[in-house]
Amino acid sequence: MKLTVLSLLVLVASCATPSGDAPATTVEMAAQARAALVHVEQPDPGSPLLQVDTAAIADSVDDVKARSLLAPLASQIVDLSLARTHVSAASADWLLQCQSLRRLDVRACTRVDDAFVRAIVALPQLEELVLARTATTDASIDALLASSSLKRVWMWKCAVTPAGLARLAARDGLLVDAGLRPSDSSAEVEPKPEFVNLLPMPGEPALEAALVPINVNCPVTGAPVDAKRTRTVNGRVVGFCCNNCPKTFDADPAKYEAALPKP
Amino acid sequence: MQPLHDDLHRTAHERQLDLTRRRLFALGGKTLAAGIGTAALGSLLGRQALASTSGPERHWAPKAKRVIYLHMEGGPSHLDLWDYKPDLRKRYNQDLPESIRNGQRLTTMTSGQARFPVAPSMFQFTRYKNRQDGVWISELMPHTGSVADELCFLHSMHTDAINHEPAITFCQTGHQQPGRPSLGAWTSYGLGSANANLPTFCVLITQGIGNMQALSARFWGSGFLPSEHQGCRMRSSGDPVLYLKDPAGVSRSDRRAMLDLVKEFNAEESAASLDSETRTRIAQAEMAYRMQMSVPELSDLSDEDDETFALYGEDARTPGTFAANCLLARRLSERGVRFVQLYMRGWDQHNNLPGEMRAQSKAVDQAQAALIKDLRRRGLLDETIVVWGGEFGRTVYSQGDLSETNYGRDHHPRCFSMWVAGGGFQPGISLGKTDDYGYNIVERPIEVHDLHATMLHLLGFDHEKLVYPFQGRDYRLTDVSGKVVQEIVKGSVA
Repeated sequence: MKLTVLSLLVLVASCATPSGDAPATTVEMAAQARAALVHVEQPDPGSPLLQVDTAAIADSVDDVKARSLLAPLASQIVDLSLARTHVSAASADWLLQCQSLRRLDVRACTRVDDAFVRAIVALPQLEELVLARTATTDASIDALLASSSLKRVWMWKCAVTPAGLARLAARDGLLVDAGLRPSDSSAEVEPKPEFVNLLPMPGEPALEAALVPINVNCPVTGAPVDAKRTRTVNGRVVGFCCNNCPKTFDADPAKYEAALPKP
Repeated sequence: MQPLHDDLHRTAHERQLDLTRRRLFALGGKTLAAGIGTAALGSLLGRQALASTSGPERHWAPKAKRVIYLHMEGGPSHLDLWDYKPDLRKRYNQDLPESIRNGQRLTTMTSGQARFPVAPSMFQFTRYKNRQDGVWISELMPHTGSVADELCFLHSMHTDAINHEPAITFCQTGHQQPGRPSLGAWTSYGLGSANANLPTFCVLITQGIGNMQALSARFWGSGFLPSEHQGCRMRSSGDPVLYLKDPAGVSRSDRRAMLDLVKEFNAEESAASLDSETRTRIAQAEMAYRMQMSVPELSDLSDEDDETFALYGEDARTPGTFAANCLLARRLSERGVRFVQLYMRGWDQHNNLPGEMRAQSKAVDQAQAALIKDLRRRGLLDETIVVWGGEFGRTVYSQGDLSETNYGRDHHPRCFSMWVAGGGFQPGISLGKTDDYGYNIVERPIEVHDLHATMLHLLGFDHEKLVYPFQGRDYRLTDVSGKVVQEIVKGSVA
């Protein structure tokens, strides 16, 4: 409850200016962060909240740098990526000021550990937490389970055991992604395809017999008919010896008609 | 002097305001109106200061932050990969009924054929579990089948163009004639950069196995948008980006000093001429300077472990392969690059389709499935749009001789299949149907403009309002068409 009141206060403070506008100090702080090549944007035109990503300078970001650049913006950050940086539990205190934070990405931050997780799960709005490739272990599971706001957690390549993951995944309304895929995703395999020429052409009588050619020898060359090379000519099924003969036939049907058996 | 990277972060809006403000100052504040105007502009600047770092304001909160577009250049056969038509096997070598073709124009490659014999796919299909009653996928794409629960299949795409050049241009720019900005350029213009050390829009090309068509740089051009939005092609051999290395004997501090001096000249020129391209030039030189450090780090795969190569396939160790480019696409995306455009060439199977399709599919299948899995486990798939598709489909009738083991297929714009994933697209579903011959659409046609509109929608833009004024007209990616396909947007009530 206390946290809810606090977040309400933050919201009221941030809404002091008309919708979509940010206080002047935040504008300055955002400019300062941008000057250090931190990505700061306001993704939702109807909200003053910020998305922040340190991807461009990830390798140079440690706890000190993260604090100096981002702590002044804390109350307005809704989506924060510190992925591939060197932040650790020492950043937890200013991160806890991010009362509007809904998504935190600390993927591949090898110094993020259980102490970090235990601290930041107190964030009241935190819904998505990317912990993939961090040093978190089963000791984080209880803390994650204690959060009432969490909806998704990514834990691929953490030091969490399958039992720990199972305990986490059992929680209703919490999706856990540890990079595991179902071993077999196929439902059925069709029989080996076989090609036949059985179905009548649309609009023709539905009789298989109707597709047996009326001739034994090709009307063009006189060679034996290939059963797969048939086509309809004036309502009759005519067989040919190859794919080229129908073309010759079409050029002068009357000439080759004589070679076909009479009805 | 201002910090150098400031130019990069100036929004298009700010630049426009700068122009207007200069004009106002030029008036000398002689009138009351001009004074009020200046004050109003000041407040506008304040409002904009927290919006996206470049380009126009979003229209709503986006679901996706970036895009990876896997373009299969040449037009892969929907019938041999995604559009399952088992009954066609009972019509082997029958003539395509005129009621199906219905006067559809043909390319000159088959218009002279005496017959249009039905060529059923010779490949076996498997039904993979998804979030509906499953999706049938050809034996050529087993790995992709294994991630079917993440994919949204569009079986009823159609396009206006029947030949590669206009069809690719249409897919990539929303218009058949060249000259418009590409999808990636519009995305860069709309979203701006999320990593000031890398280009916003990167292009990676894989040479295919089959028949290859020309691939022009204008497919990733910026058209009338400022040229900073054009795609940056990364090469597969030698330096990934040309002319990035300093020549022998030039130190990084020499380079810095040179850039500073040139920037001073350019800034003077820019102030005098108000030419936005001069500012672009300054920004690009700075970008190149930073890329001297960031690109080697990006393309150095030594921090990827063996498991990664097992996932993407050993091909991923060979630069330029589709697998290597998928891995690079993931590395670019995790560094915040907004638009990664991959081209896989060689899907133009007029003849010898079965053999070529086997090789083409083998080159892409494992890697594209790995990309989906890898993005997902890193928590990136939800915010990254992945698109897979060619510029058109292929005919159900055989081009040239038909046998049980060999056939070819001509271009077919009337219907084709694509899939999309992540980034706010509904996972594990299929939309749209074609007729029994896979020739015409019978349910929920989707045009290329609709896909573009939906992508912009997920990126936070109303496609009718994301415009750029040029030669007296407000241009859009979707021109005068396009409807958001609500059925495939997550959480949307269709």
